[in-house]
Amino acid sequence: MTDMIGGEKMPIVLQSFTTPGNTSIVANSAGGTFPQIPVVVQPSSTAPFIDGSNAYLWAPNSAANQTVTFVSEFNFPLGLLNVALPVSVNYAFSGSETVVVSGVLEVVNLLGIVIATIPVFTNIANAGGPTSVEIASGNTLLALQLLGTTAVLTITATVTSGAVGTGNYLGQVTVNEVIAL
Amino acid sequence: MPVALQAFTTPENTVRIADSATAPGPVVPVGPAIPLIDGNSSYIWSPVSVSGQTVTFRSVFTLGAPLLSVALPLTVYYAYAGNETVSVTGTLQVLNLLGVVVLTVPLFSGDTNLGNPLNVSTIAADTLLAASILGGTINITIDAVVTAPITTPYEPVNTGRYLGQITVQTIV
Repeated sequence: MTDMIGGEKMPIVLQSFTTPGNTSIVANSAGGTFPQIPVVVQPSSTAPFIDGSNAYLWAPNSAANQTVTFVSEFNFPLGLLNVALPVSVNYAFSGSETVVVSGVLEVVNLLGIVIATIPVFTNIANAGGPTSVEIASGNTLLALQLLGTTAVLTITATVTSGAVGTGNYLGQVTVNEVIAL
Repeated sequence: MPVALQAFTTPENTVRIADSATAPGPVVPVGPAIPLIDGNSSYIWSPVSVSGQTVTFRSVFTLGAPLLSVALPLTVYYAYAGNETVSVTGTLQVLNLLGVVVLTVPLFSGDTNLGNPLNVSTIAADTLLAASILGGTINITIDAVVTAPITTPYEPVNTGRYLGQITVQTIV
């Protein structure tokens, strides 16, 4: 009987890690030709896993106190609906040494034109340091006229390594769309 | 909308409902330990610690259910870690103003940390609550079954531990 008074559930619409396939480097204090393709690096023995993964990324070159800016793009469909669409984003991330992340959701129509740009969270830092998995969250309600299109969630992370060792960065995004069934 | 609720498991919101080493009851802080979750290293455990111990924790997180003329979309995101194997189940209940449960929604069940104490595992679920049931309280219950490492001889350094953080978003 619960269906009559609410409680319908939707699966997760997107859950994905940052990988060399969806992430590029747009700035790197150690130099290079941009965009640069990140590489998977061996993290320290105390680096946390995030949901089972420790495939941390870094630039192909490495320097002390290096600052690298990663841009990751995640796509998911918005579907054809006759009601507005609530979308929530949770982003779990970790890195060495300091990490600052921002998330922006763009809605792209069938012609590939961006018709809405929505900041989801801005300048969230890994205050707990390299052994912490930080959580950044945000949500939005997409209007009916934006649907039937594609959403692109862009996560930009600026990571600064320490004086010793190689930096690293790993994130996992989880997107929920809440739809009445 | 901002985040409606973000909270860690603590001795205030969490009890042991089963414990292979002692009677159920309150939890105690242990640690600090890694990994941190969102900057927090305040793990909890039983006051008694033995090799291979299994403890079931129950955490209850409460938020008000607003009075709305439209339905309320709600997302629950749970990040957790522990030593050594953790399995979590989440349930949402809506209580009316009299405290009577009017709706129970299973959120997720049996999600694990893969037995990896360095792993911060994440699980998410969402639901749409009808306007007719709002105006009371929403309780989200997270049950976690945590099994400590088996060590011979038993080493206190391998004490079990558990930490979780819930993030609830409502989209109005």
